[in-house]
Amino acid sequence: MPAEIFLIVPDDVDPASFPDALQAVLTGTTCPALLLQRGGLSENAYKSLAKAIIPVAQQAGTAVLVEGEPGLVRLLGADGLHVSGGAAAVREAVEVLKPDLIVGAAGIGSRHDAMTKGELEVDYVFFGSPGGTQAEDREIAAWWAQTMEVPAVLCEPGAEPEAVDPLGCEFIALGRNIWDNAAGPGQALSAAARRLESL
Amino acid sequence: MKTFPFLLLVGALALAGTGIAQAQEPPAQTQEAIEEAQSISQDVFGPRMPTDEAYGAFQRGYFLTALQLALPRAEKDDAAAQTLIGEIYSKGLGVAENPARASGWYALASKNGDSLATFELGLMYQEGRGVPKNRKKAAELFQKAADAGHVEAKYNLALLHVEGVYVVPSLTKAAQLMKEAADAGLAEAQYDYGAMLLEGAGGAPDAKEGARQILLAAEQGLASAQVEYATLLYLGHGVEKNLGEAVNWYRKAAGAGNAVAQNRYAKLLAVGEGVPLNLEEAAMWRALARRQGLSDPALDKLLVSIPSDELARAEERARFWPGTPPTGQTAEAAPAEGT
Repeated sequence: MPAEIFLIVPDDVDPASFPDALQAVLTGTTCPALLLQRGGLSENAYKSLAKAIIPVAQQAGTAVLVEGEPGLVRLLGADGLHVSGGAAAVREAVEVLKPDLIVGAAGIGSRHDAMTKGELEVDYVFFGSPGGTQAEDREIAAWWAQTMEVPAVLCEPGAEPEAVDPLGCEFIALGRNIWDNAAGPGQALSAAARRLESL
Repeated sequence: MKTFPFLLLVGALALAGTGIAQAQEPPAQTQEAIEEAQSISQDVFGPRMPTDEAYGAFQRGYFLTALQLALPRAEKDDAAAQTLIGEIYSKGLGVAENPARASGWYALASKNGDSLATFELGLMYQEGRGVPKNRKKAAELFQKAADAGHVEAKYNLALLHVEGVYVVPSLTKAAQLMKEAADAGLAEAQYDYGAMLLEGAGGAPDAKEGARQILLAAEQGLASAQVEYATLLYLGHGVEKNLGEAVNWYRKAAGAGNAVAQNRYAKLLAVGEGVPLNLEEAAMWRALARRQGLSDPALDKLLVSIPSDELARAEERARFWPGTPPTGQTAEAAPAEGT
């Protein structure tokens, strides 16, 4: 089965125009999940961006993951929480949100860390970072995908969409390489999807 | 003796040798764990690795310390440290048993060339423990570990060549690998290689060498080999017929809890063959074999005439075996009255 696309929305998009752009992109290419990065946004700015984006994504069949307090997920009507904190934060999110909602573990520092978080009944383990992924992250992700059952998301925000390699992971996370692509985000995303189909 | 004992042993190997001892006497858990750990650490780190702190802690039974010390090394792709952590999680030494985690570390260590990790990972795929069951993958890993000289992997690979589904069917290859593992002193391999020699599977039949291999396994305490060797002595097959010795091996295996041995020993006691006739003793071993699900009408026939008080005493003794009933009457005194 080809890897699926996990789309990352940067924190600096324009809340007024972005929902339409997103709708156009998601109409062309299926993405099962979308992460709304909190980044440097204030709580209110983040909430209003989320409220603008969530209905558009969900309409396209895309699950929306947010960052922050576990309570935020139900408040915003999102589908799950992307947790970059430690194992305690992951455990808290799992307790509050599962099984109705999605919980993913990110901020993986080592294999041991991945296994500790991976055992907390999370829905995915996220390797690498939207800010950039290192060779060691790829190595851990490939190993995880090969030996563990919990789905892996490999974050590749810098790769060329037509050359992305999920290394056996179930999902590949794409962000800047889609939104800032010279060919336009719609073209970039469908190029990535074709590439994944071809593997 | 017509069929191979092999396939029963597939996958049971990692536990070989400890199973019986554990079933019989469950003493101080920690001591047992430490001993197991020591034997593991000798296997893994013995001649190849200089003593290091993680290994030292592991050997002394400080498993959590060993884990803490090994983790940073394991993250930096140190194969021995990865295997050590695999062992800690696979066997639940000082931590909750965690096969999934163990398989992850074994996979890394295997990739980095550790043949013990390769073998252990193979077992996990074979049993579907910590990973989805995948016999094909298990066979590849056994092959890889066997090529690197791992003895138990050679044994398991030999079994796979006999089974002939996940590797090419070849009794010749099986016999070669089995001999290598037997020569390395693995009791299960000595037993199975002996059985192959007796039958001429994968080579010319050689009853004498076959019996000798089975004796080697019996001497290492493998109960099924003790039963087999007793049978060879009883029949005079590959070895000079010797009823007294046959009885001794049956008794030994019976005492180790082997149901077939208990049944056969009971029969010999019931007819006084190679051992003084003793119906109460026979009935006690019958009861122990039955308790494990082995019933035998032929033995029942031999015991129809046992007096009811002897039978009652025999069953009482079986209930408390391997101890003795807590009444005034001792187990030793009872059979004397019966004969």
